[in-house]
Amino acid sequence: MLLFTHISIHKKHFYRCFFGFVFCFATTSGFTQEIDSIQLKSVTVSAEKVSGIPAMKSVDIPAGILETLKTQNLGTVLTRNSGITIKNYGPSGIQTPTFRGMSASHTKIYMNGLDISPGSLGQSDLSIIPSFLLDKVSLKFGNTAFTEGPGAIGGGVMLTSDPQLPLLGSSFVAGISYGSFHSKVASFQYGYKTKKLQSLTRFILQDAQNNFEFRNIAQPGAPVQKLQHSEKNLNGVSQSIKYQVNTKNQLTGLFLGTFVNRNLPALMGDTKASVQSQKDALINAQLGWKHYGKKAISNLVGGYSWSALTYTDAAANINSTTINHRFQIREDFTLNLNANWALQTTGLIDYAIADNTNLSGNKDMLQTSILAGLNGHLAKKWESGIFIQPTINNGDFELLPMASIAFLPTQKKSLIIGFNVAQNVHFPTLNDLYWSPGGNPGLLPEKALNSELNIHIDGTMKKDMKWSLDGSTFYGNVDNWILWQPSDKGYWEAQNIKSVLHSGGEMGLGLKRNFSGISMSFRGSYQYISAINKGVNDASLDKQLIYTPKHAANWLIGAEYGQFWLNTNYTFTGKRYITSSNSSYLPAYDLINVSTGYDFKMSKNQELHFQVDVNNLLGKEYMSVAYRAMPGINFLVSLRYGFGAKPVRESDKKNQYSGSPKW
Amino acid sequence: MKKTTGIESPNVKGQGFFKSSLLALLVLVFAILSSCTKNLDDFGPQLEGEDTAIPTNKRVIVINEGNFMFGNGSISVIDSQTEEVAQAVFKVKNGFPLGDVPQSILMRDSLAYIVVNNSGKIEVVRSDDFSSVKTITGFTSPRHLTVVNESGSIGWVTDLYANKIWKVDLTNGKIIGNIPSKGWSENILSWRDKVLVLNKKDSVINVFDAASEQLIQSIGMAEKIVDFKLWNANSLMVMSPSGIFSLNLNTLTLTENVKFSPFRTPSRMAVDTVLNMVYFLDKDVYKYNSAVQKVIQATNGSNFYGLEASAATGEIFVTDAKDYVQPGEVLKYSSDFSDSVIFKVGVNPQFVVVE
Repeated sequence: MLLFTHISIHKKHFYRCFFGFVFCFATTSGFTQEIDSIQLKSVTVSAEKVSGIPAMKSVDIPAGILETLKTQNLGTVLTRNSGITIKNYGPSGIQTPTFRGMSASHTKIYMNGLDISPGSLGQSDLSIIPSFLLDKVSLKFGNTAFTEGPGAIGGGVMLTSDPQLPLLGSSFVAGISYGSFHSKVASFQYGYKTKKLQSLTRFILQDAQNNFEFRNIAQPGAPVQKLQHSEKNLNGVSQSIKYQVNTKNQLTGLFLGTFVNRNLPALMGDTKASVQSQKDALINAQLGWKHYGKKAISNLVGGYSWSALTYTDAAANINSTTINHRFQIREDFTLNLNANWALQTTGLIDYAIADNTNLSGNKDMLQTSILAGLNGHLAKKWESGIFIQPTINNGDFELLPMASIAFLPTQKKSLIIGFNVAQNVHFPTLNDLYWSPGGNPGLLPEKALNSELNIHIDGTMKKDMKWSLDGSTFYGNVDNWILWQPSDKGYWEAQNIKSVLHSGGEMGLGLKRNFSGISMSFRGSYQYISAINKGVNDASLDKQLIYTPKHAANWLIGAEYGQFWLNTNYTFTGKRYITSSNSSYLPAYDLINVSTGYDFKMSKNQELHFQVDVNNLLGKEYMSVAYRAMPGINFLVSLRYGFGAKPVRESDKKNQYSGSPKW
Repeated sequence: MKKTTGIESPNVKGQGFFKSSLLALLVLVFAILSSCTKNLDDFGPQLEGEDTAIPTNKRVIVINEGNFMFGNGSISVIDSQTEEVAQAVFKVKNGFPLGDVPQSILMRDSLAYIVVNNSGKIEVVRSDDFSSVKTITGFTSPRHLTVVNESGSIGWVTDLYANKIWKVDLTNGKIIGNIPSKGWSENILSWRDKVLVLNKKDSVINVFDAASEQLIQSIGMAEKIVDFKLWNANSLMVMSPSGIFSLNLNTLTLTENVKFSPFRTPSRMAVDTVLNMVYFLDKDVYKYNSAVQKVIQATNGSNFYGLEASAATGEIFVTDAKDYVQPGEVLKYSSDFSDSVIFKVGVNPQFVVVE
């Protein structure tokens, strides 16, 4: 059921929101504070019967988890709380995500539905996105990302900026953190809400020396050394605006920027000091218009992304800057044809430009796709969907189909069995095509065919214990897999090398129980991924892809008593091969991270939040990437003061299974 | 998970504090017990397979570059008699990895000097068992080493990025100076009182006076110079995309031996000075004495990467990097290519020394 508010607005409030960041420096006495006791009238619109595509798997990161990781970046959030693999090059290094054994360029990062990955590289670095700037993070596995446009053949990370301020008037939150290795975080959030308008301005500063001690097993005698040249500084800002024009129309705006300066440390075996550094900048601006009709919903979003990556290595005389521009327009339109069927369409125009001297100036790519399909009830207990997505990419045409069917024997949807199959395509990036030397304009798109079987069960035991169990299996292959390899031309060249067959399964368990004033929850998942090389004529045939663990698991136990809470997070990363023939590997490792906190209620509208994070509690020595030093046990102490800003726990209540797949 | 319920807040004093403390303790104990991996002494990359004893004579030493920024360079040693291969001999012997992108090795007397490019160092080891003697550091991106004086105490080291040739005291393992050389300097050869250096940036062979360290002459070609090898007492064989040339070391003049038409993209050259044969890689393997002839066709899945010829046996050694991310192979061919043996070695085998 869709809910939204029936409210009114004064014009002056609109202007106040745009300049909200100015007000945030005013004294608290200057804020207007009106308790939103009216509880904005809920209106049910006629589009209520529209449902999502059945049988698809997506997982929300619970708002409560996101809240406790506000000082971290997106890569850390996903490493600890999702079933996807994050390749982590160290505290100041990049973090790249992969789903189900696919590559990082097969994973798309969407902000409010628009892909923010740079067109040159086609993959995003999650370490430059602070979770503080996000309101919601969810994951679309495999075919589920098909509905976001072509390309995400592994999956999609869905980021949402959608402020849900609880109170009318002004509110703010200010936080500071200090921790090991001179880690410092300062954040500030100013919100302003009227009956029609919400504005949220956020700033975050992160700075860390990352000069931790580690045992350097790549040097004679494995001495304990301090990591050098690993400083990282991040500045992030976002401005979100949501304006409810009337009951049928909503306008949204977003400006998001992150700016990162970092030094890149040497490999553990190096004897020379590193002089490598990297600057990253990402700016994303969006405008959206959502319209609720009698039988239809339209959601139009237009956006522009600008990103710059400058890599310098003084020793090698390298100073390379790549600038990416990306213009996108996306329209999602859903029309209820009758009580059982809905027509769903998504149109996407995506124009990407990349600029680097190795690209001989500007290179561009225009991609247009239209997703169209029917989704609804075949019978009382059966839902199905069938879609096609014609796509044109710089003149290359692909017709992509998807079909799904789900069995829902219970009215409350406590048991769902779903199956889906789709063909997707990933077009070569601008670097793959045009980088000089080595870019190959003759590259073929990577073609994927994937199928999934998903099962979800939930229920309640003994009245006070809720549980959910989710299982997924997947099977698919990717042809024309693109790799860069040395060529007979004397340089590395992008080529369509091989096929990859991937299959596996995911299991998730959610539990929650209240007893004696204590609330406990458990959220755990396990993944088995087989991603093997095909179509090759060497020892890598039928072997697992490098840096793809077959086994991975994580769980989180949360406990809460009064204002006190404790989260304990466990992550297990299995053996990862680092040669394609699987002759060499990095050992498995597991980590425990603990967060605990206490919320001091100072008054009705004021709260002081105290939090301590202990990461890598057992001080495990491990490598995520070969010969990249990782920190041992480390701490972060945070203090956050909120005025008129309720914590996210309200929204978290809705997500009672803590991140179970959505159906 | 934080705050997942809407339960009423109980009194947190007294019993509440006890409850919450107990709860915290229980959860932590559970978490610690869950930790199922041990903290390893060697938590770095592991190699699957058995250790083989390092042969001490009649060996073929193979430098495996590994992958750039993977830190997985290694040395394989093939026993020419038993045809067994000892893998990762440096790490096995010394307990720490060789480093990132070993480029070349110079065997001299009882020592071997392994130039490790992206680790910016030269590992000096005993040539019989590869046990570490010392590490020479301070380079930017070293490539090749040659000894420039009769006593063997001074070495010159080329460098990809340093814009200089390093001068090293090999006795105490210290850099003691440098010779300016702009751009990428690669091959280096000491000949009598001269030192010849291939400058890949300018595509010239720079000839230095070893004593004065002064540049005497630059010998250039219209096409880039790919490789050079000592051919006999008085000449070098020089490879370029346009052909194979001889450089008279006395007169420092170039003579064309064979012209490629159309131009080729050769990557490596090896010479057999007994059979007077030149071999080179151009995706496949070719030989040249009076005419160019293809002798080994690369098969599907093969990527020939390194090449060496043994003047003592007439055998030819071709390294195959496969997909560049897996252990490669060394293919040993008899001089007439009628017989071959394949040896599994490390990742990206590139430089071969036949003892």
